[in-house]
Amino acid sequence: MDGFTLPERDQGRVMKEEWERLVWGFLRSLRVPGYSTGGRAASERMPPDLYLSTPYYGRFLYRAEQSLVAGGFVTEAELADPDGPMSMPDIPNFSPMGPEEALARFARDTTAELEARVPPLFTVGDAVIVKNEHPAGHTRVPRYVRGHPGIVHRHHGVHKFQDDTGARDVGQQHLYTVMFTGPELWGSRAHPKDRVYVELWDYHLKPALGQD
Amino acid sequence: MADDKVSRRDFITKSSIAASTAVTATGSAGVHAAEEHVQSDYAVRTKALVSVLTKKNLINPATMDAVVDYYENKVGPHIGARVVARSWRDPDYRQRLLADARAVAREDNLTGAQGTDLVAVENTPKVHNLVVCTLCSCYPWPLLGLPPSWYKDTAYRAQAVIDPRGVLRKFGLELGDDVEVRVWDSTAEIRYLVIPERPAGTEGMSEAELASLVTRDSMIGAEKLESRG
Repeated sequence: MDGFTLPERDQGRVMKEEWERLVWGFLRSLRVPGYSTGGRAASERMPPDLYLSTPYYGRFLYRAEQSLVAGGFVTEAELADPDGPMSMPDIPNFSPMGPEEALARFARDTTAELEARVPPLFTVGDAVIVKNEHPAGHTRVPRYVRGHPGIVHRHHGVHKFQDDTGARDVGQQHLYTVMFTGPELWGSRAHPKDRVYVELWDYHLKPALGQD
Repeated sequence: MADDKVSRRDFITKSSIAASTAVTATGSAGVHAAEEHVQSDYAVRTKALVSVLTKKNLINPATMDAVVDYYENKVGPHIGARVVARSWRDPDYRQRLLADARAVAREDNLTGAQGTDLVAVENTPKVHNLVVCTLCSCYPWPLLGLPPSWYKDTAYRAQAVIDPRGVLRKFGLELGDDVEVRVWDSTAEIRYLVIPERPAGTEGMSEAELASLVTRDSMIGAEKLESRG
């Protein structure tokens, strides 16, 4: 990715194609019991070559197709021939979400912060090291900070934890913004005054040596 | 129309092949043709899915229209621009914004999906902030709308954290060696707003006049605002 050509900063409409607007429209309109697109983790389960060769809104489309077929809401045959025969879903007391509800959802307070029931493991200014873990499932720890030391820059309280830890309950997790220097992450290629800030949870961090 | 009845797997394989062709083709005509092929495939697939969902009464087409209208016309950089303009004129507001942008957004009804846990960072002559989401596309929707294509591009996402000065140089912004560059990688639910430097020559302007000068990309940190007059 480092070698890819940086794009021009495109201006104007964000969704440039009509199909992109349709994808965005149905994604945010489709709220059916038992249906989920699986979030970010589902995108990561896309075959890598397909992921890289699929445009942004195409990935959402792919995920929706996969989830809807897997959930039995639509069939491949119906998608291949939308004018052909199809089975009607039988979902008790269901009506599709109306415009008012959709717009109300967008304006909601969607904080990921939870009421803290455990104390934070770190405070602002602490020297920490990111645990060098490489889990098979979804994690929010970028590879480029694993094993590297940083400084806790900001404490956000307990935030909903986003990693896939399988069946393991890791309990409440405080979230921090951790600062890393460019040279620490990238060596001599980095400018000495570059800084990278990454959000990490208690689960990802350990105290740097010399601290208790 | 038997040709249209392609299996889903064929659709996906074809799109994938066409896209790889777009990447490897040397002639621009070839790239263009491949891209058009991919676009039309996505258009067909999207139309089919929406048609089936509508017939099964799983989605309401009026909701789709409202969703698109909301994200294309109701939210967008004009909202973030008002926040920035106010922060230029009102030092108390600016301090509150920098200390707890979420609290300010809650007061002003600016919270919403993908943008409640807000953090504001300020550019100064000695500090330049740049926002990225190396994972995908995290972005403060209620303040800036949906992210532009360049922000979601793999090259930008990879290079912004490694070589932010190089990225900014290609974007037309050369920063001095005395400037600290802070790159914010949105790995959780925190969403960042960059408060660009107020351009010179804007003294005495109203909040609305100032807001009209604030560009989307300046609030991501991808550009500086030019002096006026």
